[in-house]
Amino acid sequence: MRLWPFGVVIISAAVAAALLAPWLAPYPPGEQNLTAINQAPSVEHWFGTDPLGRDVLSRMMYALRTDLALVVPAAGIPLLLGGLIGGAAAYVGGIFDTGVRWALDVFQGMPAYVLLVALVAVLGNGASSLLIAFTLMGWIVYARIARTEVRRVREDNYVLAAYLSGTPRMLVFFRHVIPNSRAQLMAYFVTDMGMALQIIAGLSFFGLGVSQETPELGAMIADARLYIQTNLWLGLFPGVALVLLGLSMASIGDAMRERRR
Amino acid sequence: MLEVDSLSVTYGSRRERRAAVPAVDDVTFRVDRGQIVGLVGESGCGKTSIARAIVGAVPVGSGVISLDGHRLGPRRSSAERRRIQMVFQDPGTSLDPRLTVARTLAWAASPGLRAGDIADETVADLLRQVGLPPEVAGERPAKLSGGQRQRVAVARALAAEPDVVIADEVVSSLDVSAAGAVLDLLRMISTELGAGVLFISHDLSVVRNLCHRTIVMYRGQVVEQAPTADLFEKPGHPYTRALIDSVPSVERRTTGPVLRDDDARADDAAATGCRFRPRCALATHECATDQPALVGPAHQVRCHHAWTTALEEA
Repeated sequence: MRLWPFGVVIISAAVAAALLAPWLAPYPPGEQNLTAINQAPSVEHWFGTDPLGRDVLSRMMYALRTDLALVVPAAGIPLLLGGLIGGAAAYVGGIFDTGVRWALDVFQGMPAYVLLVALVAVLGNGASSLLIAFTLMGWIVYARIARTEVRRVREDNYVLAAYLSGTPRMLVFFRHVIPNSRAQLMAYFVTDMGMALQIIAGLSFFGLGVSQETPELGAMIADARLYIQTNLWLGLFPGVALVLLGLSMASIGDAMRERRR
Repeated sequence: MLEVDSLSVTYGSRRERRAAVPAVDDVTFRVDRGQIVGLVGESGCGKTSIARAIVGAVPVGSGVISLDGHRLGPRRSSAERRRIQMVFQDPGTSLDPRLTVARTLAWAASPGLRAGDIADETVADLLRQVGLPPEVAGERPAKLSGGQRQRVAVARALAAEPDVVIADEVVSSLDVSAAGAVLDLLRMISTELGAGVLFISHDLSVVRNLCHRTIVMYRGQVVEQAPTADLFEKPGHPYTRALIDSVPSVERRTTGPVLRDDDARADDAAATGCRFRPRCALATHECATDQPALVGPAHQVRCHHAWTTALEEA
């Protein structure tokens, strides 16, 4: 069954909710109402309230802002860096390619997730250390994909024809090779955003992600775990949102990968 | 104009190259202005390697490629590259699938960053030259037929105003009428534009009708080279005769079984003697020990038994 259209709808809704949070959110994300704590979903508070009386829906919308704003660069910077390094290596060939291949093999042997957690722990909390860790560990897969794709595309005759037309080699790379190599990269990019979302939420759950007071899905789930017996709603909505977003990105990524031109 | 002198091409790493049989071995020929030269031979004989070496896409092992006496090295300037254009066998990968025809042609006409300067006029002119309607300009390759794509590929080659056009099996994947149209374009390129054409093919009947000179290759070497009429009238090499005999013809005159089907042994023959020996019905002791040289002024043949037919032998 084709699931990706549902994925597109869910992602679009999440992006809209995140972008429009300041206008759509029924309450400010930090506003405490101590007269209405730990409430179940109701007309005033659709997703209920937390132990400080904050509106869960509003906090989730702002959490989506935080998470999506992290997820795009967490996958995007490795995409650009790895894509360029791997693509250029395959295009230029020679010693440069050999060097990149070695580097890829070395990095490939490392347990990415463990190192990522370690890096964040060493670098400290916050968005920038998350992005540094994701870039260091994430560029490898992109470089690998780019290398494979570029090696295929550069043998296509239109690449030689463009070169024979007198186009500088660099321009041939950006005009013909990259655009025709990027489909698989973009497919992985979407899948990778889904994985990055889970990892960021996971790190925040452990308190390694963004700072405590920032609304974030993983942190919300972490806060909710103390109340799992008294207020199930608290963790349910952020958890479901996280799972749906991850599945959506995975299904879109799969659909993109399987699409052949 | 285009001169290929003692060209050799060997593939593989440096170590592999030392032992390997060259894909192209000591090939010499020239293509003059307005001339169509045919290059024939079975697949794997080195035709495409020659083409790619001429345009600088594969490294030249030894030998010299020059245009009007100007030597072309492995690193070529934009202007040098534009003088030799290539049209490819597979129209499927010869055009960038993401680009419209207009964009492809505009970029070919002006390869720098300022392709925006190229007027629609130029694109329309190119399309007119290859007999395509102007509406094609807005299409992407997926919407075009094989024949149309091949014509766009020819137009792209013409956009560079080349001195030489290399056509590598350009009609082998086209149906008869589309092929005829593309062949007419090649004639037009040689007569009206005065460019030289190197026509690579395995189809002798096409070569016979199109080319002024014909070069026959076997396992990387030129085995016969002559004005086309001469070559088809009195083929000197047994391989050429076999090729000609394999073309269906009404007034067939058979010359006996020249070609033995013996591919497996052919590889071993490379080291000494004549490369064609394992498949040759005329082979003698001499053919096993001495590699024949390519001899003759206008009609050159590489064979110890040139112009000997099997029937006479018997």
